[in-house]
Amino acid sequence: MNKSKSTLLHREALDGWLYASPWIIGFFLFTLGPIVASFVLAFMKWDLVNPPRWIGLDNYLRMFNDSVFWSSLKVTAIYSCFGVPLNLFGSLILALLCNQKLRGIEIFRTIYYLPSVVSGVAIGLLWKWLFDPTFGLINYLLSLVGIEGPMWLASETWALPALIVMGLWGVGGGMVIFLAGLQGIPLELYEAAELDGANRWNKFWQITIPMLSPVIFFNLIMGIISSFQTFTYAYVMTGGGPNNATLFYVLNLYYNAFLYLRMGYASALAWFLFLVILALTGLVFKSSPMWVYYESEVKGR
Amino acid sequence: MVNKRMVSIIVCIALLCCIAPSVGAAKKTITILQWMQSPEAQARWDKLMEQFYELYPDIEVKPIRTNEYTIKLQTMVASGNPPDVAEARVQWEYAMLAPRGAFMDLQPYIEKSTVLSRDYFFDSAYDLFNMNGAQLGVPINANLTCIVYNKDMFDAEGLPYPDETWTWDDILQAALKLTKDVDGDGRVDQFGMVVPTWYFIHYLGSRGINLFNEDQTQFLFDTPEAIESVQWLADLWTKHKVAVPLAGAAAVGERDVAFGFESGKAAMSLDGTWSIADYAETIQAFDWDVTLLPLASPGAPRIATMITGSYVIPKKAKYPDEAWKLIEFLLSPEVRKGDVARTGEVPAQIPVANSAEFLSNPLPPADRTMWIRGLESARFFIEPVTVLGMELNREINQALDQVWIGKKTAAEVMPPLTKRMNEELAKMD
Repeated sequence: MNKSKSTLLHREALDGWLYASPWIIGFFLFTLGPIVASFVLAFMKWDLVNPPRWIGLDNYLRMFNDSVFWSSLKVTAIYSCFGVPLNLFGSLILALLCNQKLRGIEIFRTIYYLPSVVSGVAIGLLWKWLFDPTFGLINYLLSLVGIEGPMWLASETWALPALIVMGLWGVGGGMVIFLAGLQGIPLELYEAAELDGANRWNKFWQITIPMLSPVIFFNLIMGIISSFQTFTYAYVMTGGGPNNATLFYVLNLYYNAFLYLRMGYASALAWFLFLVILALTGLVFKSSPMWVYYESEVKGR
Repeated sequence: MVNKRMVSIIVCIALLCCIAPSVGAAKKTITILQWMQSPEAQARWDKLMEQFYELYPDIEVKPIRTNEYTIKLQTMVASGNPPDVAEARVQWEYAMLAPRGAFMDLQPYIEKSTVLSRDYFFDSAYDLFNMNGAQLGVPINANLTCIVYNKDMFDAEGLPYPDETWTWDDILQAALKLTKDVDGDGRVDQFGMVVPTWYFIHYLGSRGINLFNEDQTQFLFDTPEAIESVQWLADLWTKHKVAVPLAGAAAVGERDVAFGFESGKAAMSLDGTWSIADYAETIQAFDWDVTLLPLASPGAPRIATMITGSYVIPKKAKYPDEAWKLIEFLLSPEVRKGDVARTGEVPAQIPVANSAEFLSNPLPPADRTMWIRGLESARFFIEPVTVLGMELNREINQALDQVWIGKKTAAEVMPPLTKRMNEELAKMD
């Protein structure tokens, strides 16, 4: 008895490793090497052509005197501060709407999810035309109600807000995850609450939100990570301009690596970003016992 | 048992078959890094290679094609496994990699060559690839800046077409008349011109303004002429409002400019010969033509500006001798005449530019000797990126953005910018 149980466990463990093996092999073959290399390169000066040279902590020290570095960090922080909550609320509201029992709701879900599957570059080009100050749809619509729209991407003031607004284009991705969460909430909870005389509002705040909090937590973490890594839209639409108003952290990193050929400095930038994201996600994790509820959890710890 | 043995025999035979061809012919395979091409261009390339293989049966050419040319070349060079032949544009790949010593000196090959010699090329293009006496590249083309204009729009206003006698002021006067609200909804929907912001280098060039002193130790961006010229360009958007408004800082790419002209939003485009073949393919709705950049003032000497690309052999190329043979072939009069007969490019080779193939190419302008006149006065103006590098170049462009959108004047931005660049320049060796 005992023996066959242990072989079964053994088999299961083996199966598990096998299922995970594509990722594990890929990680060791293609990801671990570059990670280690970039850690070492961060202490070196390397222009791709001449051999790397050890310079100690210079790359990290350089960051603090680099005004472009600070401005890129600021731009990224502003983008995340507004973009992450906006996206979270947007996708939550959309998920609530798409969770209604309506005929053909699947069609709406598909429509709202569809933009998230389109490639980033294509979206960037599309929105560039929408934002065109003279011929774009957005300023045309504004002109219909008598507003002269701003220069959008050509304006230092409006370029970043424009990118934040357009970030909402991707809410469908978060929506799908919220939907899954919403559908996992047991109906008994709502029924019980109704018997106790709860109205919709009570049910939303007392049941839906707490039951959904692990999903909110997940979407928040993913949102923070991805918004600090924002690259494509700025690369395609603005090149970081005008006057560095949309120079995101990773775009600056990319320019340092592949335009200015400063692989060492770019590696140091990458590691600093890693620390920033690590710290932020750490904070969110630390705060999670205060607002994230798991079904299996005993309340009141 | 028998089964096993049979299998091993079959495997052995199969392995031998794989090895055999490479043993049989000791072919040298050289690689060339190319831009992504249309199927037609690829078919033409294959045909060219058939001719090449007839001449050199022991060489095989393997093209590597990419859309991220600059980065791909950098990475290949960095990995110590560069292509044997690459293309290097003077202000991009060449400017980035040549000063770092990534390319071979081709002088010894040129001295021995019966096809390529110094006299074969226009000096203006050839000398650009000479660095401290080493000839690091041989020029392929010498593309000239030009003005492309929509003939229908000029006709509608009863205006004469721009020609080689026009000055920049004539262009502005025409642009003012061509900027209008055609459909009467209160919004301007036809502009006099479309201008890429990076064109300031060529505008200043056409007025003979150098951005650097002779030995490239001083950045001269704060002279009254330079400031006045940058402001003149900025005024096209901010004061006269004759240029298609900028859609975004990166929206000044060639594609956006081309679209402004192709879609009939602008009557003129500050452009270059590199666009002509594309326009011929995409524009059906109206008649258009092309002329050289205007003069600085009536009777001033013409200065055409030029952007050129070259073939280079990276230092770690495996087969430099074979690579040179390929370059010789690709730049030979026969091959280049075939190129210029079907594309809009201007060749850097004198006999090719004077050939019937180039002059009778059906692409505009009708009188294609215009390009030869242009080439005779052509100059390449050292661009900030070439001397200052990509990072400072980006800083200049970001600072100039404020001028283009009218937030600051050229006189406010350029003197402090120049001072800062000269400080950086002094730090370089």
